[in-house]
Amino acid sequence: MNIQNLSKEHKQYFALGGIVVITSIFAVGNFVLMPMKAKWTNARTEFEALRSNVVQARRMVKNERNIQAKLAESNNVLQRAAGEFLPDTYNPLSWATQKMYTQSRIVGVEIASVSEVGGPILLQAQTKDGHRAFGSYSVRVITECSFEQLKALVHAMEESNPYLSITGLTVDSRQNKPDEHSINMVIEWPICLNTIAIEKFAEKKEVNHG
Amino acid sequence: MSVRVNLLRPEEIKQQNSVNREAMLRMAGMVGGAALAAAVIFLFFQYRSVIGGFSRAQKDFAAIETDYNRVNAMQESSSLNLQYVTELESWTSSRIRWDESLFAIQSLVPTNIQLTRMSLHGEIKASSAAPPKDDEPVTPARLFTLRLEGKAKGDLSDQDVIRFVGGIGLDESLESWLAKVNLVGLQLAPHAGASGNGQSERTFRLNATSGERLMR
Repeated sequence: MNIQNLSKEHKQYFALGGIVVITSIFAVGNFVLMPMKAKWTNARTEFEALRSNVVQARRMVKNERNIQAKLAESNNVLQRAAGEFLPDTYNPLSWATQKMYTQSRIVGVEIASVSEVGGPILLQAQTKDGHRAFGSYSVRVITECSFEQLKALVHAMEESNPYLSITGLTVDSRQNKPDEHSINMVIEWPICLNTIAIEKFAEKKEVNHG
Repeated sequence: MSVRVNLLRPEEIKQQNSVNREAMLRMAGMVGGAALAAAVIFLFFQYRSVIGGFSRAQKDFAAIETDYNRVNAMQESSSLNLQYVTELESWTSSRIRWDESLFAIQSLVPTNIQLTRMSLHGEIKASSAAPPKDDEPVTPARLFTLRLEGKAKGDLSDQDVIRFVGGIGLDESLESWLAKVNLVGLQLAPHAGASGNGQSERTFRLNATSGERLMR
């Protein structure tokens, strides 16, 4: 069959057929195959993500005991900290005074005064994002005692609370009583500033006290 | 001189061309058709596999979803707790045990030196160290300064004061926090010798500063 030998009518049929075929291929490609491909790609991506989630979920569920142990351990640390070592968020001075007097009586030092230094403050370096849960709370303690008693008091305080820090201390000798010193001490604790954490710790405290 | 002689007859040449072209076209059509069919079958099975796999994975996930949500909530709580615990630990690691330091300083003071005043100042401020990442906030750090003032008796008391300052710098208990110790003043007391046994007396001041104690 030679195209030269075809009649004009046949040629027109052929041309029309060609156009229909090309248009059909274009239409099928664009409106059927491409959307199918996109849908299939999406389905495949979702499937991969879901499969990965399932694997991760299985791994996590399998690791439940370990996660539970870690949670329990960290809960214990925080509960103990909230119950024993961190100032009461709503009445920190009362808490600090009680702690200071308890420790000073153990070592036989009489405290003259305990006063708040500035109130609870956010650490300057933390105010940019505020993601830290603890700020600083300080009290000033004034007393008179010997250097030996001071060492014993400082030791007792630092031993009793791992988060306590002595951030200010002035020891002045007295002319008339060489063994007695005027002591001015600033004690600092971390205090919980994160409201969610405060509520959480407060609940823990209640549980502990209950 | 070479001569090329074509021994094929023209009809043979024509016949061979005609057969080859048709065969090639037929072959190409068959191969193309088969490849297309294979591709369609492959895609169909792939599609079924994905759809089937997706539905299976959904069922699998649904089966463990309750457990997963519970464990995931535990994991999130644990991570948050760990963040708090780490932060609290930084308060412990950045503090200085002054009980040990007071013992150490007392043991270093020679008999002819008397400390008249001791003052300590600690503060929390932004560390000068660059944050681990650019977008992270600056890490807070504690910085302590201890100032000692005292008097030393004896004609060679200046040597004793210098030895005392050196002793502070070398002490094992203090070296855990001490970054720098400086004698900032040493002078002969004006009234020395007048009231006592004729020995001269010197007053001195020294500063001991800690390095930055990061609260990570």
